[in-house]
Amino acid sequence: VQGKAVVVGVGESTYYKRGGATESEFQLACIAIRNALSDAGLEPSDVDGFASYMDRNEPVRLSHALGTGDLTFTGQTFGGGGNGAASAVSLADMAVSAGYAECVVVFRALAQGQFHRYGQAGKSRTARGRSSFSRPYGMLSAAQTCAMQTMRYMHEYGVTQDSLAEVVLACYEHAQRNPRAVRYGSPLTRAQYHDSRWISEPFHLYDCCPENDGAAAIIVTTPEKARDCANAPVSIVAAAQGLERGGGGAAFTETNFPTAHHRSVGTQLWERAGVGPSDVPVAQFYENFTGPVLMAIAEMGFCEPAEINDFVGDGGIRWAGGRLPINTSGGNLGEAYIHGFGNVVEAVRQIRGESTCQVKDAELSLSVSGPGFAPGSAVLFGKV
Amino acid sequence: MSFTSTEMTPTGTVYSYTVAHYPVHKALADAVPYTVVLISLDDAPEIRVVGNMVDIGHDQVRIGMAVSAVWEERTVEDETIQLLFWTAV
Repeated sequence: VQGKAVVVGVGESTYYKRGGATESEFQLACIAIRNALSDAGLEPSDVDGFASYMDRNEPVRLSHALGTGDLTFTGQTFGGGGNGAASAVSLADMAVSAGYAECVVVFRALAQGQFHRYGQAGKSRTARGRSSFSRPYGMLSAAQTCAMQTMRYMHEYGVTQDSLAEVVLACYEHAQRNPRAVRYGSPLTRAQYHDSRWISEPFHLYDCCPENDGAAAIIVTTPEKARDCANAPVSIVAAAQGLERGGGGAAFTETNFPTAHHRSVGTQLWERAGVGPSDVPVAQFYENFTGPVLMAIAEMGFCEPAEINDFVGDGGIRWAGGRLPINTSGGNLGEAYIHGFGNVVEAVRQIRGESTCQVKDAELSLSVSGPGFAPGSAVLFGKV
Repeated sequence: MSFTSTEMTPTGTVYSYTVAHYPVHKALADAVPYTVVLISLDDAPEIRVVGNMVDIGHDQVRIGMAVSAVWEERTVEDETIQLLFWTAV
């Protein structure tokens, strides 16, 4: 059944710096979804399902505001980070392929200007669960926890600060070609990266995702319904989510620490798809922070951890001549941080031949979600 | 399912660390930069605990450094709690 559903539309709102949106987060969600439907040549009344992750814009409101048809499916995946972006697509694939719905909107809306900032500790005066062991010691943000993982990863495998920089520089270089990108017109040099202030070592300012306002959406439907749509359908070749045994735990006692939570995601994905990493010419890697991107590249099977410096160095992940161009829209760092859903939209655009950093004749296009947060997930798109 | 307590030697090694420079809460504005360490216990290396170092500069912590535990009481708003800290040996 898996791999039966197709993507027929993509859309987004204007992307803003945090606090820059004149619309509310809910309005941004509606705009992105309307744009994706319009792109597909569909009407809101065609929609009968919603899928997302960690989103507060509930289908009960969206359905009314957009004027959808009767809803027959809604779903969100677990996890506290961008790890849910690709698995939300897999929810839509499951629902459509199994016949629970015919036309599912997958979306994420995030206005950090209207709501709380991800880069702050928040107002909570208590610690619970895993954070009971870390908050009392001043470990209060995602940047700090990912920094702790990355520091160990760099130590174990000899990963350099310049390799972290490569992720940032690729994103900023690609964003210069994308007029939708918040960093369009704001190039970054290696010297600027190294000179930027520390946030939480080994992360400089530019290693950390920005805070933005915006929304993005795709439309997932059946191959039959896709025949009436405005664009050639894009196949959901395979999707996977995973939390490897020994990968969970409290206070960093995971057996596998440090991990991006993508070893079992990669194993499943390649087996289901019947292809391997070397068959994939372009990939989007969710960048909460640079370190987890490097871990995910290795765990998805593109190289060994000890080979990371060589893999990403010398332009290896750039659109211009790279062996695996990543984050070709500019990604979370350069385009906008919409909790990684922009990475999904861009992966679809690569198959449609519509990226501003288009990889020629891309037959397969990968989007990897949420390294460092579990369950990790990934989705592979392809030509129908 | 039953739970038991086990006594362990209060020593370990620095498995990883981060130096926080940006105060993510206003209460930490005067505390940065500070180091958060992840300590692997000598008696059970697979067990790791998060903590802070005492008596050492934030730029002197290194992975593999041997440490021993120090318990300190901290009082916040009339509530006293005991926290685990670490010192280089």
